[in-house]
Amino acid sequence: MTGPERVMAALSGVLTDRPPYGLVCGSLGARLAGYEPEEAFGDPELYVKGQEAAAALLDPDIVFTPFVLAFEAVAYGGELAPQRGAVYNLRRPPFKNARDAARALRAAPTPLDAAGIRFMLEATKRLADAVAGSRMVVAPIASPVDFPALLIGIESWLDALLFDPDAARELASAGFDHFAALAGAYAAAGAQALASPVMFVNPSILDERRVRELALPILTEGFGRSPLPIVFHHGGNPLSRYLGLFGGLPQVAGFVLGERDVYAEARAAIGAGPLLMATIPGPAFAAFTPDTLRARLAALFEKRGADPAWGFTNAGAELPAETPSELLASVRDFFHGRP
Amino acid sequence: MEPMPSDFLLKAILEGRLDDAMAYLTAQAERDGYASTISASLEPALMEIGDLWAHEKISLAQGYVAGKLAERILDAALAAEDAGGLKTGRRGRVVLGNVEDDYHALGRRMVASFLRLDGWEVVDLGNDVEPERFVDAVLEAEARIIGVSAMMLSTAQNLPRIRDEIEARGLGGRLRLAAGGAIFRLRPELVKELGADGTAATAIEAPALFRALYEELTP
Repeated sequence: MTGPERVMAALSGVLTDRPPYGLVCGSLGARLAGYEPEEAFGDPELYVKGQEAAAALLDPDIVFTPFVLAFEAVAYGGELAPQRGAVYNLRRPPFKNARDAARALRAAPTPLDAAGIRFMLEATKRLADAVAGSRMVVAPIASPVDFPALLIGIESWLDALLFDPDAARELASAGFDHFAALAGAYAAAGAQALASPVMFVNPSILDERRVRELALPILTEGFGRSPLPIVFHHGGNPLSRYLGLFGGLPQVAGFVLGERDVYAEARAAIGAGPLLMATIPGPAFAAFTPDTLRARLAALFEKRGADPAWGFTNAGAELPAETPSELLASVRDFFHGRP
Repeated sequence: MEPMPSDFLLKAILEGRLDDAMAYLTAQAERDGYASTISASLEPALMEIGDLWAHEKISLAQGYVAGKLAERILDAALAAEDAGGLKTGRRGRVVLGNVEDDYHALGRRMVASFLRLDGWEVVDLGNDVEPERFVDAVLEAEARIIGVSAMMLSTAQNLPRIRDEIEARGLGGRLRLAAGGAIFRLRPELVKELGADGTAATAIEAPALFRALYEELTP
């Protein structure tokens, strides 16, 4: 049975030989393959070698293309901030305010040929070729309601959502073409699903009235333009208590829960069907031993009960580059043979 | 008995009606003066919001609106003739910045707003601040507390370098290091592990933390 088949079975409510799982191992994969993360996040071939090195230990059902959302903003003129041994961050967003950003987005086609985006698409294509259908290829993408924060900064985006909703709508609408073009390009490159961290529809970030009246309609319209199924990632915020808000989102096939979420609460809120992925925070991995990791996995797995639409991944940021390689084997050994 | 927050003011802040909240406080300040308005109206509202925020009953955006209001009313008060006891810096100076490699300014800026309203003079070093610069700035400002913001674990791991710099210059006994940011809310055990002296779960709780740290230094 292949990884995509396991994911599809879980979505169809069928228990298989094991639950689907995958971890974000960009920097870790690079280290395992003998490269610096900075090298792997600039060279598609090295990135794929890193993923192959990680997969040799983890044997996952799901593999991820480069998780560098900052590249989406850099394509419009943002400035990248290299991080030692980790994924790039954004030093400076490309625009000052929502209206300037909306005008710029409308004035030119989505820059799919920008260096960072070209790298992500080429890495997707090579990764899809390398796994040849044995594992599901998932491409991270900024959500339509969070992409504006990459373009103008979190504070300016919050200002627009709070105090200038017309400008917020204008920018978000201008970003739909970017989302659709990038999602389409990922699909053409061989990705089978998108993973989208979503923050600005979470009532812990934005008050619920604005979520319902402003942010959720933006997300609904944007997600509706994806040609691929989407996994809604908690984005670092509590999700299970709010999941009832997100049941009607188009194209959303699953949710990645956070560390503080309650699995039973999440399933009760969303109902049967969507894949719910339990998690351990990526940055926490480096501190586990194989024994403590097994114990944590067992506690998470126990909460699944008989729910077939269950999967496992990491929350928050990716696994640190220094994560001991035997921990990947521990995850593999834990899930193999657990129907 | 503690003054009760005005329902109108509280509702305006929670609904994000910043201009209405400001107009309400300005009208009161014209009648009673800014110092009285801040202590009798704004501070009780902020206490209530801080409590709701700490218990995750309100959103980050609602806390952000409260911070904006604090900043605006303080600017108005300082520009007015009756600033008097509100004079910023009466509690002393503090140095704030995002740890090296961190570019998430929102939390730091909100903390700065609430600290200023509480009477601290804030020396804000901005994003991506190297350890040496933090310590140079605290010495130059004759401050006793450094507030460091970090959003993610990868950047929070640069915090021990600030502690090392403090100790290397023999300043451990006379400075305090406060840490804040999403990662410390998720994993409070990191505060001690990474060499900080304390944290606050929300920006609005930062003044209480800074007062407590300052009191440790001046028993």
